[in-house]
Amino acid sequence: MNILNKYLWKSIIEKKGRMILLLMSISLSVALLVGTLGAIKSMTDSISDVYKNSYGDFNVGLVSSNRENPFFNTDNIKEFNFTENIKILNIGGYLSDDNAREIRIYGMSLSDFKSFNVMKLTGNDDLIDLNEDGIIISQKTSDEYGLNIGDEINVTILGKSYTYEIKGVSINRGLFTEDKKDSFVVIANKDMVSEIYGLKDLYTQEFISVDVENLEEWVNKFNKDNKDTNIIGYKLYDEEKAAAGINMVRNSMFIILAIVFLCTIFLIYNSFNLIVLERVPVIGTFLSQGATRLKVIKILLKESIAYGLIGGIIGNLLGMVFIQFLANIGNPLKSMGVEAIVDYETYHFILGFAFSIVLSVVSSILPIIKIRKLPIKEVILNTMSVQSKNSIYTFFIGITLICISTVLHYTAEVSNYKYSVIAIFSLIIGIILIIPKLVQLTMEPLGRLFRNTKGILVVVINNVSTSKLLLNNTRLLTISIIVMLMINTIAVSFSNGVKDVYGKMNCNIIVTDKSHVPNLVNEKILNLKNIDKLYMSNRLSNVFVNGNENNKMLIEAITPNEWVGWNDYIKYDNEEETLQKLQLNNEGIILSKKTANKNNLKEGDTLSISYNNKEVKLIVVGLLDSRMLGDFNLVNIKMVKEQLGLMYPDSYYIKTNDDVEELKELLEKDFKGIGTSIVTKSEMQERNNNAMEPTINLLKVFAYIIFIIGGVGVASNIIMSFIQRKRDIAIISVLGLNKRQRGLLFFLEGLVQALLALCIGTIAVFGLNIILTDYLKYIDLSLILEYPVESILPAFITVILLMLITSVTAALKSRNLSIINEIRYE
Amino acid sequence: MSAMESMKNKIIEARGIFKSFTIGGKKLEVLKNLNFSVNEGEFVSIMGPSGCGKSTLLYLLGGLDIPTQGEVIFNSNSYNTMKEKDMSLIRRRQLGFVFQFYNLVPNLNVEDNILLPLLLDDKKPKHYEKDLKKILDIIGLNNWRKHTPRELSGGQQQRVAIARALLFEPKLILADEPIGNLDSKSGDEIMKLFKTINKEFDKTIIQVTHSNESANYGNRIIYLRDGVIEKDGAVKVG
Ligand SMILES: Nc1ncnc2c1ncn2[C@@H]1O[C@H](COP(=O)(O)OP(=O)(O)O)[C@@H](O)[C@H]1O
Ligand SMILES: [Mg+2]
Repeated sequence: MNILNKYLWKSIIEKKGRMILLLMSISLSVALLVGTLGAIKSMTDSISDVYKNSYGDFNVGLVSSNRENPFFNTDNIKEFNFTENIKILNIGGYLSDDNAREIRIYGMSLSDFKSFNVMKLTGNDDLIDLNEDGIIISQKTSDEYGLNIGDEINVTILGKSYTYEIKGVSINRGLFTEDKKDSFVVIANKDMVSEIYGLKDLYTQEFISVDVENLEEWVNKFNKDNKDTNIIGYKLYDEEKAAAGINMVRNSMFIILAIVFLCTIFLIYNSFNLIVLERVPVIGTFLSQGATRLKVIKILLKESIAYGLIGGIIGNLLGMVFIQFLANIGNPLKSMGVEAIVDYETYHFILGFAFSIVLSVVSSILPIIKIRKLPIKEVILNTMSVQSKNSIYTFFIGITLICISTVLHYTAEVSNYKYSVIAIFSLIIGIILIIPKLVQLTMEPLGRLFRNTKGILVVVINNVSTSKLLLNNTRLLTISIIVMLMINTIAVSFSNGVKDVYGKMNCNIIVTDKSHVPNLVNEKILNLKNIDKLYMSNRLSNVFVNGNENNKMLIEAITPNEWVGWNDYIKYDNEEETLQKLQLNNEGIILSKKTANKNNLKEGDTLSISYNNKEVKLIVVGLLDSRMLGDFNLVNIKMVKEQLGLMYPDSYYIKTNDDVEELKELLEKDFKGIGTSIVTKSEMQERNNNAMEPTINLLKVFAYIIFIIGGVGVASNIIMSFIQRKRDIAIISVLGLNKRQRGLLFFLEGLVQALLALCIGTIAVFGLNIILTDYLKYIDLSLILEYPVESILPAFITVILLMLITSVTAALKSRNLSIINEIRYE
Repeated sequence: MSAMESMKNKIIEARGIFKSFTIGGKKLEVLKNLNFSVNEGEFVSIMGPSGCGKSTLLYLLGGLDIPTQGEVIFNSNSYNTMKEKDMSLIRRRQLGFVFQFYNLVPNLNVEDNILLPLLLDDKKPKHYEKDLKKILDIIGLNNWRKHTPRELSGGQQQRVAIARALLFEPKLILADEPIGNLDSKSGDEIMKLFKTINKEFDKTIIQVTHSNESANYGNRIIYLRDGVIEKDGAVKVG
């Protein structure tokens, strides 16, 4: 190793604090990247795994298209090119001695059960005989209720009690994955269920496995061919739907990740600026001894690659832990008790490793190649200044970037929000770039103001607005504050947005009727007493727009003038007026803005919808903003009755002033076991919050990690910059700055920087929220971003504390500052 | 020493000063039992070979460092018994420092560099506007007030440092090789400035220098060698 290399390797090790900071921020970034990629993979895997565990090789389900007649004859099915199939007849009931325990009974033949091969009997008695009163339960149910083979249970079905004997216990897969807290699945003899219904050779479900490349196409063709039957096919596992759920999480994770990278880049950039600055005397010596600049640059590049290599290794190791951690936190199926599946993908780690090196080199390249332009004389004489200069160019570029993002915002609708990501980053980078000039502009009048009051403030203000090191600290602080506030904005708005969906609903109990007796349910509910308000709707999914099978929409069929006030969460220009238009027009539709945009429709346009192969032409009579409800469109229930033949609503929103629990019990007594769910609004909200929890937690984890990177970065940067400023401090000390004043100087500098960063940060977040809203629209999330006012104070306190800690540290460090060592030149 | 001079007050006195440094476990005796005093109005040059402890002595006189043994008495007060705060106060108000490498604060402009001791003392700059102007006139940099040090030549920077040392009307100015880094023309100008300050403004000056020429601007030379005073005498006029 030549002398230059030796020197530089030695200096890496010498500055332990900086080495740790650099390695920490690089490896945390890599770990986050690897962790995020792995966690997303794991979420996708978990969901498809649940599907595999539930349906095994089956990929298409067949059901009746008519809710009032759920039974179909499999002989009617046209096109029989599937390899395997099983037929099921299902019925609901509840435990006779505990009517809170619902039971779903799936009747099927023993051979069908055996060919549904994800379900397997535990133990080895393979040759069971599933006679008329025999059932199979899951291991989970067996454990939970203490039921074993040979035990009997009493079940009430359609008002009559039946006794069954447990003949087998299966692993918790297949149909048993539907086991829930207060309901469980049993598999029973098909003929027995037929007998209860009094039917022969009819079924409610059929699972088939089809071996084709494009399943979507196959299903569409199947449905067309079976137009005349009441049978409809659907994909058991909809990758698109599953992906859409994860996409949102993935997109938010990536955008936050990008911000983390931005912080890291800035930190590395900063550190290398200091490294170069600090080595100037030595570089000068090398240059004066005849080393070429290129040589010096190469060695510094090696240093940066070394950081990348080591950071990559540590980051990947840390990433393994992160994957586990993030996958568990973000597990979309946690509330269902499904554990996250974590697989390590080699290419994620290779990617992380490459990323680490690129990150390190790219961020350090600017300070390093600056050496090309260093004036040799100044370097050799070590008269380089750490004063900021030329900030006008940077300022100009920053302003340009801010303008670009402004233009992108105002043209966002035209470009379909495609460039919103660019707008976000150009705004953030723009803000970072203009900070020095902005600080100078605000500090100048303040400097004049304090000139004749407190002398030390003049020094403070001057340092804050002209010292490169301090300006960079202000930048770093500002980014940390922006990131902190933005993540809070997203987290708060997200959870509020979701909470409000139900929070603002004008009801206490929601009844969702999936039973085969909608007429009875309807009659019972209409005859309820002591009801203040009742909203009814019929919710239709699988509605095709303009005959296009790939373009589905969700439709809510309502009685318009009775729907007013259902949920304040939904925003209309004028609710009563809009609904009145629908009331007057049976063939009208009120589209959510999201659906309207997607299909390029506006008020007055017409569209056709098809449901169960029946087509209806509709005219758009109004628009609404469904916010997080997404695809939510209203049609007149009369049209649904008359043209689609759906006679009864399936959703009832009941508002009562009486005891809610009492009403719930009353409804449960009537509706238990027939496929009707009764949920109070608070239960619904709780469920919803539980479903949101993984996403919110993920955001929080990211916020904490950014906070660690930012906080450690700022702290060490400030302490490092103190080292860099030792000489200046020494000079001022010679002129009579005492130790107390020195501490005060550090603290005031910190305070001014903190205040500046807070001002710039809180204002910047306003702008960023606007651009972020564009981005959310781009990812189809109509979320109203709420400014996180309540986070400003904590951010303020944190930042002040951070500055206090660092200025105390700097003051402590400066205690041992030897003035004469700093002012004498050897 | 004339009768009139002996009546003048002692401004600073070194009493039995020892200073040693420990380098790599080995003790290095730099100053060994120095005794001398300087009276108000004197312009003293400290000379001697490189590494003989001239700067070390000057730092001790300025209270920037403390002696291993012995004491420095400034205006009848011993540094040894002073608190850090009072020491800072003395540096601010009664001492002026000038160094070889000017030691200006790079991000403050000329004016603020000069006003720095005042700002640290919480004095209002506007009350010193006249003094500032006078000093800037003396050093001839009235047109450079708003410039930063890096925009100035070495000689100009050194003048700013001198102006800063003068601002508080200090009793004593300590200069460590003030022209060591300057060409001979600028050096002469600086020395003339010192001479004026000494004569017309009645300031006591102690400078460290290598050159006889610059020592001749003063009126007394102390020669150091191997940590002791080799010679201490008046400058021969002519
Ligand atoms: N802080 C210190 N630590 C160790 N040795 C020092 C220190 N300051 C000065 N010295 C040593 O003391 C001696 C005198 O130094 P100095 O006073 O700077 O000499 P000069 O007469 O050239 O100004 C030198 O040998 C120097 O190495
Ligand atoms: Mg010296």
